[in-house]
Amino acid sequence: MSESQRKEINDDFDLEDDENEDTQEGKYLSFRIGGEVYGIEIRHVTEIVGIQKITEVPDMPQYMKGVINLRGNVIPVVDVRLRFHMQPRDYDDRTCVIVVNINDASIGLVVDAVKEVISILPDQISPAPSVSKGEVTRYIKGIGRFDGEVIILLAIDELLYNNQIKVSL
Amino acid sequence: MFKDMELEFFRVFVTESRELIEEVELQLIATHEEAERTGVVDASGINGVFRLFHTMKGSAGSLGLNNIASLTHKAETLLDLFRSGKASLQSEHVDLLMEAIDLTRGYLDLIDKNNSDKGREDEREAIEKRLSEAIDSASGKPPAADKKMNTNNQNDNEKRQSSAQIFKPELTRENAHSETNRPIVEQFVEEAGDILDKSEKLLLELEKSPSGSHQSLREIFRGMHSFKGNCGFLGLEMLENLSHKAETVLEIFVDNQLELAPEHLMTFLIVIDSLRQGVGNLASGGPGDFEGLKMVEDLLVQLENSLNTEEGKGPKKLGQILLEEGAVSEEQLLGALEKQRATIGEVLVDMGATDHDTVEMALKKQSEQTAKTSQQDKVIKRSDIRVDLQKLDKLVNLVGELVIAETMVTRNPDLRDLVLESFDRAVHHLRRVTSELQDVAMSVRMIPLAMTFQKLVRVVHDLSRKVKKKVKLTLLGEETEVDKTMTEQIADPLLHMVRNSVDHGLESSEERLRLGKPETGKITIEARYEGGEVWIIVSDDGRGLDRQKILDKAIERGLLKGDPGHLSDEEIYAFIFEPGFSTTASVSEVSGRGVGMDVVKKNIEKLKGRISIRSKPGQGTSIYLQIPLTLAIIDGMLVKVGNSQYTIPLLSIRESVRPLAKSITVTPEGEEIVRIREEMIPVVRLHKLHGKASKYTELHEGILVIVEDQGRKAAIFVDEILGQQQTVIKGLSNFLSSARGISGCTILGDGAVSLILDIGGLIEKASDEQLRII
Repeated sequence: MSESQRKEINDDFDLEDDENEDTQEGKYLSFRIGGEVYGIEIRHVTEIVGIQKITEVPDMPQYMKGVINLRGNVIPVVDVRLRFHMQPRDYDDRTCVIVVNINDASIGLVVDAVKEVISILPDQISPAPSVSKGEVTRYIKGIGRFDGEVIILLAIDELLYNNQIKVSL
Repeated sequence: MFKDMELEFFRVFVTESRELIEEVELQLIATHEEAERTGVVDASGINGVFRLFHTMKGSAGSLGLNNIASLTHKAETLLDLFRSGKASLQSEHVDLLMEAIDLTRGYLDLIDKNNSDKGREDEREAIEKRLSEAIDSASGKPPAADKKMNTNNQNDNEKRQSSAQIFKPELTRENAHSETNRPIVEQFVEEAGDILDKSEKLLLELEKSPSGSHQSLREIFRGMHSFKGNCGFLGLEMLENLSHKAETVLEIFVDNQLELAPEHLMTFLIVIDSLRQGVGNLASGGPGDFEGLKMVEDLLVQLENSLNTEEGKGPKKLGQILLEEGAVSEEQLLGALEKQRATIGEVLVDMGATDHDTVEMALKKQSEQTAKTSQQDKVIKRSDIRVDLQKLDKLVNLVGELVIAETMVTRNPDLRDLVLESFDRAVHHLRRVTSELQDVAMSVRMIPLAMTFQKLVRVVHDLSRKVKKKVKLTLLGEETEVDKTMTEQIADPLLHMVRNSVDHGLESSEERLRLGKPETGKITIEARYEGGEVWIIVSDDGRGLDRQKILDKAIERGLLKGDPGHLSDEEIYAFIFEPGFSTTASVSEVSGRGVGMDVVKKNIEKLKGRISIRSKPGQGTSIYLQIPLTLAIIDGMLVKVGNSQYTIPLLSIRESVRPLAKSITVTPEGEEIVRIREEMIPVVRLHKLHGKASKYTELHEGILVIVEDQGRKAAIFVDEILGQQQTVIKGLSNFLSSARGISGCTILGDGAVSLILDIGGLIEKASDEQLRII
């Protein structure tokens, strides 16, 4: 993806500017991985950029794809697909990197495609099913319903920080 | 909103106070040392300390920080005694003042944490009590002629205290004109600042050389006049009142061509401080008020009265009053007046402390220096500003981006094959500007080590007293600049190392004398650039490390297995960095628990630095910290392995060769070794280590880059060398901290990220891998 395209996407999705804390309440950015739709709280999201050249870093777990240059900042990127132990898939021009900011550190999440920003009311969110105690389930904050669609809401800090040390062997 | 502003005030107060404290602490120690050596208390040093407490007291009072206000008030009162020469500075005073400074610092920490200075009242009361005692004993027998003055001063102080107690009357007041007249106000603030700065400078020059005071006084008078006018125009009552008063008094000086005596000078300096406070208040949106108007005005009135007396129309002179009251005899008074008029040089000659010629020489030197400094002063105007570190980081990043953007424009594929003469010239110009900009942006984050070093002066001062050793600390290379974060990281290690040197390194005074060494131990802290590193060396001329003792301890603790015979001194000394390692039997208050050196090692490793120790029994120990200049630009060689581009620091590269097939040997374990001249060097296949595909697999097809780290060599196998370039090191995110053999990354001209190899880590990693294969 060329620089100009990257910038365009930036402009379209620059979420930082006008949104303040109040209006971000209950808003989620939805994205697609495989057949499922996921959502993360909009307050974590800094920007969305198209996929670009990732520099691999050795000694990292498979899902830690490497680093990208985000306007002079080198930030790590995680392939969410691999984080969930799904099959790898080639990147295409729908593939996006969602840049999130957690505890003052920026990190990129590679997803199949970004959908939209949606508002989900608290009563539309049910707790994560506790049937399985699998690793993946722990990253799920809840299951939201929007427009008849089911959206898996992710606990982004869990996803990135939990057992970070363990996996990075 | 109001709350925010208050917090901002607190923040500014805390930072400024900290800076002041650091400066003053050194001054205090220096003054004291000077006083011990020569027996003369240097008044200028004390003045600085006095002004610190005065300024802090004022600000603390206006911010409602009563504990600080009260403490600093007491310290100020004590200092006033030394300043006016009513008592001489003793070492117990210095200790006491140091404790007061420490407590003040503690309060600053409290403000940082709780936004209030509540707490530690017991300590404060204890120190204040001791300060009061010191004040009482110091002012116990003041010279007769000064008695009246002294009580005056105390009255002043009482008044000052009461004004310091009345705090925060201004902040809440509504201020109508500040909104509408904002631009005018801003202009005023700027002008007023200049006037005050200039006046202060002139006053301080007058202090050094009282000659030519008329010219300067006239100038100050003019400044004050226009200041007053502006205040009147803007309706700033308090500022106008005070500046008017000051103007009136100055007018007397100017009209009667009076000389400005030191005590007058102090009054004016206080006036300027107060005015500045008012202007500062105005600048931050207040109504331009300040505390202590009454006190300062009183000082001025007092001064005015005394001047008028000299004119023969006001109240009587102090001496006359004393004479009439029978407190002093006429001879005494005349003698005192004579003394008062005499210059310091004459007094010194009288005292027999020095002779006439020396004074003449010194005077000449002084006038030369004043001439020089006044010239310099004119050039240097407001040399620094405070900037948020995040802003700087952003600037550095943006400059990096700019360089990349420049490359994208100038090497744009659309321009290829075009002949663009004028465009090329413009590009050339652009490149020059951007590269200069890059250099400047890099240097912005660098700060000299001076501040970090100077903190140690106090540490050594305190410690040497505690352990009763005489120590002389020498600081070298303070101007060496390092990245801001680095100064933070090395502060602790330096502290521990210096503590160790004083406590363990240096022998006691008696022992030193017995050994025929000078009684005063020497500790030297030196910083210098060495290659791409900063070296910080802490050395002492003490007893040196005891090799056998360390060895015994290491064996006892099970740190060493097998034969110690083959260990080098350096390897043995390195044991002192083990956690909990201590050879001293007794744990002192200062050190001996074996924690310190462990911290040193950890922090230096965090900075990717190295430590080495050199020691000679009986001659001393030197500890070398070798730390790479973080964030600095390094020269790197860009190499390609498969699709990846790595940067190898040029400093670690010895040479690069295209090996012949016959110079490669493979050991039974599968380890490849290349013979370069007479040396056998293990080969590190980067692509294997990083699990990647490479273009070449046969060693003789690619290139071997011979690298060296701490004496260990390795031949890194790469596909090709792309070139050399200066690169900006960027740290890897914490998420990636477990990557071994990578010290950071850098952004290439095309925007791609290249990993920088950490040669030491890489060699270790490679040998670990090799072990795994076996």
